[in-house]
Amino acid sequence: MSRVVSHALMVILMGASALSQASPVGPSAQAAPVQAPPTSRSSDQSEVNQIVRKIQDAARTLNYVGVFAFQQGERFESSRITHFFDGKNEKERIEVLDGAPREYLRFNDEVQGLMPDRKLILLERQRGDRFPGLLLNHAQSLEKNYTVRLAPELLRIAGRPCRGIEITPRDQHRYGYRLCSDLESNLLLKAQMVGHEGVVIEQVAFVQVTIGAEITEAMLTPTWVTTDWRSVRAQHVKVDLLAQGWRIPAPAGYMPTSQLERTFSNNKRVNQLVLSDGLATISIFIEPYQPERSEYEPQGAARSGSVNIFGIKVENFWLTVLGEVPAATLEQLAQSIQYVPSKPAR
Amino acid sequence: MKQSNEISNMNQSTQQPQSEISAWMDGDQGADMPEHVFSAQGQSTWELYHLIGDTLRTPALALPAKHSLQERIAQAIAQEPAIVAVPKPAASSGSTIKGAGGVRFWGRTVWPGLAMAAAVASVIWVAKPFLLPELSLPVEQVAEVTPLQPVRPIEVAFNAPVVRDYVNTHREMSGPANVRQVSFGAMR
Repeated sequence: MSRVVSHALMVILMGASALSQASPVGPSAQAAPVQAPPTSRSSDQSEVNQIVRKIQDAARTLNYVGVFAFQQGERFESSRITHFFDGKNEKERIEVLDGAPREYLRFNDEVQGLMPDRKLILLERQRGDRFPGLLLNHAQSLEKNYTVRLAPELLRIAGRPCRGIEITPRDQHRYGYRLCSDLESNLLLKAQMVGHEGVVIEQVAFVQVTIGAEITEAMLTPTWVTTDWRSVRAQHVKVDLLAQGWRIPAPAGYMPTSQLERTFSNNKRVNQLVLSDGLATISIFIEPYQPERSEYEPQGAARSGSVNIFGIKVENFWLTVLGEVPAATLEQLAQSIQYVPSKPAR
Repeated sequence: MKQSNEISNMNQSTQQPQSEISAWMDGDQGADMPEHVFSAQGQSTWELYHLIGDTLRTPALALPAKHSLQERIAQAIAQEPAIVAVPKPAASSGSTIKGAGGVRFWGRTVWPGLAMAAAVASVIWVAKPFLLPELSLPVEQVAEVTPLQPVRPIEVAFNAPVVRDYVNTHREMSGPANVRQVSFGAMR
């Protein structure tokens, strides 16, 4: 067989092989999850799931008062949290202690953001858990994209012994995390995002906390009387970006979780697609490109604290892709996005 | 001294046709097509100068023109940055496919084929529409092996107006270190 023919056959066979892997045909398409390297110290997966679930439950069902600090690069903010659970409903008050005075009052999923300088209340539905809750979009994705193991030794945060949990990414499309949950109550005391070189990218931790505290109504009452304040409800309109013609190939392990139309402070309306791998999230903001505007920034790769950003023009749209994920993953994603609008029906 | 002059004259006589060919290729005004372009040396000079031009414009095209088209394409694909990290066949593995030439078989037949398959896989990864849950797993398999090049992002302050709304809106749904932010930027 000549070399040309054998090469052509090889190309066809290889191409067919790649296509068969990429086609969702039969159960075999779902039978090859990414394999983690075997680790002898890795905890049993059911044990990990149990620990993660206990962290989530603890954040929702315990009564606690404390101060936590958030650090991201040079940015440092602290807040006081008061959380109350009556056996059925959650009530929470967060006072931001640094910068402009702000308070957040939460009743289950409904959140009021109080802005005293504008006498304004922003009403919105909570989207995902916040610290000390653990935002998990899909538990299955967590196992698929990360290995989870318990630290061999107990740690100590805010004067309390806690159990360290190492969450290591299985590939280069995401960062790792280190968690520490209270040994006695399972409340999350500290969370760190860790880059590929082991550098802490951002972290949040209690500096003082009282778990099982008695919570009075006065502790959940805001500092300001808000009876004459204006209320604004944040509108999140659902959109269908696929139907609009967007082809956005998610990086390995990420899945689309929501598509919304958002309104920014300058009344600019943008569409947002959120991709998640269970822990890390990527947002893709899409807005019409207006040639008369000159401030489309950043162009290309940028970084704001722990958030990597990539700005790119696709057809007549401006895309801002960002997330707490490696810059190369964002760039690869941003440059592979296509806009293929369907032709209008005649 | 005389010998030196002879060498000099010989060099000039050799360079003269080359200069004319070069001038004609560059479209210099008044340069007629030199007759010696049809000579064996002229043909060689012609190919060499085009190769130099191609190299200067596009390094990927800098393959000798004498190669067949099929070989040039195979080499060009082989010289692409690695898209798929194909595991090397273990020399001692009993299951390794070997032709009559062993390593030669892999080098000449399998690798170009894998490189082309990688190109096909890359196209599939790029062309995959999102929001098709059943496609998520194959996409992972293909994208998983795509090597990431280091990126050097520019630094932007967290409260810079150009990024503030995007970052704050995004952070409503991000990660275990997810806290309520001071800013109310993402609202009217």
